Amino acid sequence: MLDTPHAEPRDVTVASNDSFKVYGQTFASRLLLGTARYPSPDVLARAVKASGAGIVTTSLRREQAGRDGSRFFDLLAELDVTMLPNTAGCRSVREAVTTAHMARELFDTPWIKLELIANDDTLQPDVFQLVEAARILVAEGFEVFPYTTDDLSVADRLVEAGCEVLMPWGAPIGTGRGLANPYALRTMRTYFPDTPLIVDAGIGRPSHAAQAMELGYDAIMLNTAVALADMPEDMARAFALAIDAGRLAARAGMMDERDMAVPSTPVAGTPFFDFDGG
Amino acid sequence: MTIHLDPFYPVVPDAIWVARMVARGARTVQLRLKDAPADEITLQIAEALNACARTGAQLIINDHWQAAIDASATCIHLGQEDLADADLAVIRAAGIALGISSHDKSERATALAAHPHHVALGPIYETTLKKMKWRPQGLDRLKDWVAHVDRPVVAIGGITLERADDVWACGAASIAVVTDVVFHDNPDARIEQWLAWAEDRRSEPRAAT
Repeated sequence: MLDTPHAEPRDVTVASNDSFKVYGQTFASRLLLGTARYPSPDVLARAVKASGAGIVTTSLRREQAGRDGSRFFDLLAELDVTMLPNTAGCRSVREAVTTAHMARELFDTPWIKLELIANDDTLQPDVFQLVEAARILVAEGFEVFPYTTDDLSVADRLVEAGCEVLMPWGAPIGTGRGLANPYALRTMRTYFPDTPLIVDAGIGRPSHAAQAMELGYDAIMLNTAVALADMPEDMARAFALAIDAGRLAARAGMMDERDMAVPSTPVAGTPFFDFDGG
Repeated sequence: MTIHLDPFYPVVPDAIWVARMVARGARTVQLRLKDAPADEITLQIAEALNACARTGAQLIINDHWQAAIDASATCIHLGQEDLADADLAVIRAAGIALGISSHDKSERATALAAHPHHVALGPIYETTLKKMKWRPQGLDRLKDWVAHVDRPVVAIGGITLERADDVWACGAASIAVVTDVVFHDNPDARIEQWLAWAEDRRSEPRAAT
């Protein structure tokens, strides 16, 4: 633990006009935090506060199975954050649509993070069913946050279906491998300059989050990296700082990479300098 | 299995309706699914249990007793036909609470022989929902059930909020409601009215509940 008292979570503040907007709502933080796998509800609550996250995701299924759901539910309500229920674990369109309807009733929100899982090994999005479910849910008035790959043709279909935000993966869920294909994510950013893009899944370290923000992404969604850290509260704060750093950098305009060294201190005009080398 | 029935319990057709009920504060809900493929039944029961777990509400699963046991549900409800087909030994071994419908004294005796947690009587009033071979039972019949059934009696069938006090006065432990919620013009407002009604009656003792 750092030998400093816990400061307010957001002492690095990005310009106040740089808020994150999605489906008509505005958030100061660009971090979305998942609520699964924390050692205890209390640790979860402290991590959410330390992260400054304005949006937290919750699963209708995993959180509740076999334990005291009402306590967890109350805790989330106390956190004063916007709830984004998800369809984690759904494998069919029908399952996902049912879960979305359940979420709308339980959380009184049209927001749904749409996840359709293709297989157990990669937990990768089933993009075919994803598009189908997104069409159904948008038609029913839902505001859909689709967890997708970095495939542009899929992303196009999702936007056509009415999704106003895209959540491409960094790497498979829970792997912590960071941005497996930065090139694809950069391409996606260029291809969708005006659609909010959130990197979702695979973020293991604050540097991964900063990297995604430097690519111009709008926000970061993560869960395991904080939940399973030795000190989730500190890690949540580390991510908040990294995301702000990456965002500031993206807006500040970064220098280009070069292959050859360029001195940072000009040498022309220094004593004994001889252009002719003699 | 110790379970508790709220004075008001809505009977609803799917898990989404269950969620709608518990989100508004219902403490007991019965899930009465229509016939559907087994995987759909499993999904609906799992989702309904999840929804109830959020608030600690009691879910009662109608008919699909094996799926209910498999999903670790704590209460099922069987009609007399379902009861005839059910394996009571398995149900008892699972420790799941059992509610049974009854429409006449013969069915009442059959129900009691199965050692249920509660017994339902209906239809108390005329109901358009199901084609029934029984005429409305009326309030005197309900009083007779309360007097002769040594466990909670659930009143069902054609009961609206306007009639609830009369039914409650007969000693019913709980009022099960289908039409007056699910088919009401404004279900959300109606649930709240029903729950406000139930709120005032939760503290009133009922025999053997």
